[in-house]
Amino acid sequence: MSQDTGLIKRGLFLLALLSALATVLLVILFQRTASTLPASTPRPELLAASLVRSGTAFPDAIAWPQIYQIGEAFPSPAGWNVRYNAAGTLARRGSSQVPWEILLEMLDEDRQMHNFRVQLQDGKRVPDEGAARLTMVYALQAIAEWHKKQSGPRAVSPALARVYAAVDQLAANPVMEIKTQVANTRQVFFR
Amino acid sequence: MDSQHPTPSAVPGPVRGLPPVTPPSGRFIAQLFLVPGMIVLVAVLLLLAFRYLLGGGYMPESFLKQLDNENTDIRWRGASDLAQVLKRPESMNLKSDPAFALELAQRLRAGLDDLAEEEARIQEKTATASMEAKEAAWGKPLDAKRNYVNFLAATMGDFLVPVGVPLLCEILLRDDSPDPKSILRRRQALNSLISLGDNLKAFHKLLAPQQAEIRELLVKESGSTNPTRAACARNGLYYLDNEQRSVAVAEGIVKVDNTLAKVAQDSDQFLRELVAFAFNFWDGPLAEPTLLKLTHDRGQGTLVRVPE
Repeated sequence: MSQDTGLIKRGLFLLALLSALATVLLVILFQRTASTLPASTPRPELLAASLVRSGTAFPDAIAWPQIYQIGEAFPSPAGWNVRYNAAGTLARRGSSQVPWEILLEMLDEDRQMHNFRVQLQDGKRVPDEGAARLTMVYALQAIAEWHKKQSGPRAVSPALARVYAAVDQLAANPVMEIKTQVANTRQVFFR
Repeated sequence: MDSQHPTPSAVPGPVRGLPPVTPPSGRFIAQLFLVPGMIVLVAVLLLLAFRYLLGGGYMPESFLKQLDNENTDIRWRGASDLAQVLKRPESMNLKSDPAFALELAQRLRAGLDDLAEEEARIQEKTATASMEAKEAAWGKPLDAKRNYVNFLAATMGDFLVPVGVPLLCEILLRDDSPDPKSILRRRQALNSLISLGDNLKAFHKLLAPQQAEIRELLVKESGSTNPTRAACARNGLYYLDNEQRSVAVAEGIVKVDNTLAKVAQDSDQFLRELVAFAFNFWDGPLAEPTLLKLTHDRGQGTLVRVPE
């Protein structure tokens, strides 16, 4: 009888172990499916329709305040990937002619979410969050590299001051990868 | 009858014909895994020893022998092995072997010439053919030669010795190929050039005697009677030593910044994007002016996307 008890005990132990393993697996699977998809924004070209007001003559026929808002909803003009790489490389080389406005654009999270889009299986186009944030991190790293390569006077130009302000704003970003890179970049600022 | 004695059927005992059931011991379970494990281990060791004794393994000679084999399967197996081995960090000796890199460069030269001949032949043959016939002629039949050249171009980028520079620049600048897939080869060449630039840093981390040995061999090879070998060795030597760059330009040196500046005007957007990135690893008088031009890029031209 004691031999049987041993077998049963071991069997029950194995069963419990397998159940625990299955539970963990299910929890992982459940968590994956529950992860939220990036919010899909409406196609910007459709917003253009809201610009025109019918029944009124020009200039009232155009909703002027919405023009700026629509501009923000569009991705950057074509060639942005080439411009981004060129600006990043110039900064990494420590060039005196870095186009800071391009790096500022690279740090703009909303703009990057519009630039990097990915099509889901159901045809819906959503922001490619990973790629967008990678561009931001790349810009932050390039800014840090530029600072490390400066051996001359450490003056902060107005354009550079705007970059500092943009980086400071990103310090509150909830994404750890960006937060860490922001901290690293701020360490080498001229202030 | 003595009622004190139980009847035989009431006595609990082992059932006749069956062994007693006992729980498996720890030793038994260990044996269950240990014995097969030992068998597999011995088999693997034997296989490795056999391979080592046959002189196979990852020696340059064996790779070259496989790449030159008439049998396509053996050739591709060799190419596949080499591509994987060169990517490994422990293959530092192979990556820094200038003689091996020059041997592969020679094969790339031959492959490029062969491909150009084949392209010209197909172009001539399909000059008046229908669109379907043209598509068929430029499709599968050319794949073996294309893939071979693409593989060798990619391999050039894995070495620490930049002997592949002239050939990669040649591929990059050839924008008049009739082959519709030539853009992919040019992108591959530019990627390899980027890797080469990055690998130069690793070269300077090698031990001084090893660096000196590589330079010595390149000097010797730069006087080779084989023009491809000599040109590749001279370029390798030129880009290995920053000090030598300031010396008057030797004959046959291909300037990477010149090549990249030309490619920066290409109609392919992706090539321009890669050029902007490549200047992280390559320098020269044209680097900064080219980058400044690229910061005003307007996305002109084409963008061929390759589905993943």
